[in-house]
Amino acid sequence: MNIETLNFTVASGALVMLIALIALSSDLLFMKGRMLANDLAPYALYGILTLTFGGVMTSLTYSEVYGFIPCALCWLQRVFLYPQALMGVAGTYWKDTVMLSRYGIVLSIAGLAIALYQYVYQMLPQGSLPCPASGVSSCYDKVINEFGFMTFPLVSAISFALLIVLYLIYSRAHSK
Amino acid sequence: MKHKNTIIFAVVLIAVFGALFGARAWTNSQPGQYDVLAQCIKYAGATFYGASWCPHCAEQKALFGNSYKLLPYVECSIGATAASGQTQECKDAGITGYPAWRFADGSELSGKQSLKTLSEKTQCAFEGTSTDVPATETATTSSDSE
Repeated sequence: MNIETLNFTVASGALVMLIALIALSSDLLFMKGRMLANDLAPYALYGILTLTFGGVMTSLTYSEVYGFIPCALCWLQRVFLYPQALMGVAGTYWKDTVMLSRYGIVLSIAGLAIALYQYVYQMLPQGSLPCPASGVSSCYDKVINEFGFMTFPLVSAISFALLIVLYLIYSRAHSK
Repeated sequence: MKHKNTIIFAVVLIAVFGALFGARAWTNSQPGQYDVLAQCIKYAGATFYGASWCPHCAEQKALFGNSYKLLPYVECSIGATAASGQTQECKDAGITGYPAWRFADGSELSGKQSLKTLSEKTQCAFEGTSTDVPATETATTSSDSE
């Protein structure tokens, strides 16, 4: 798959996740989950596992297959995403319905804050300094730039926000 | 039906995903807006050096829309990664950053360039109200020794 197609696939996936995020959070806020979230609750853990492993695989594909060097802020976001994949597996194995959501939400909030910071930082006016041939990366670089607004930090922010919503749905279902 | 909303929700999400790819395929099948400019730049003897992994090169191509295929593009990266090294052609040309534009008169512009700048450098006619960025960070050199 060439990089343009991969970028478009990731950006499209993020747009779909954004729609899901808006629908689920609106349902939780205004309808108490009656329209959608309560029905989806039994599958929330699968959603968490898919999202975390999908995020890990996507970021590793970009860095290890396509050779994009993660910048400092990208690494920080990885720090808050990668443990969640392992936590999801461990939580499933030990049937943890309490602590998984708590720790997951804390990690996702931290990841979301950094992702939003980087998104704003990228959107500020910047020069058009060339990419050095040596391949040194900058957090300014928009590896993904689709639909005029979808960049990698925004994909990351949407993923973290959707994870928070899924953790909330998961914990709500088991606290009843 | 018990999970009617869930099914509708899933179908909508999949439909959106499919529609995005459909829209992209349709857009790619349309003729480029800057075909004449891109061809003129090519015939003017300019060369656009870039690397597949460089986001600024992707932005430079995006300025031309579908017409980017007509640009005199030279891929400098041997593989998909920066670590895979630079092609001999680009080493010989002394390319140290991407994107880099070389013109027939030996001058060079580095960094992403606006269509207006490129049209001025190549004496190619450009009429349009493109939203491309001004070339604020450029380095121009002349190879007078040649």
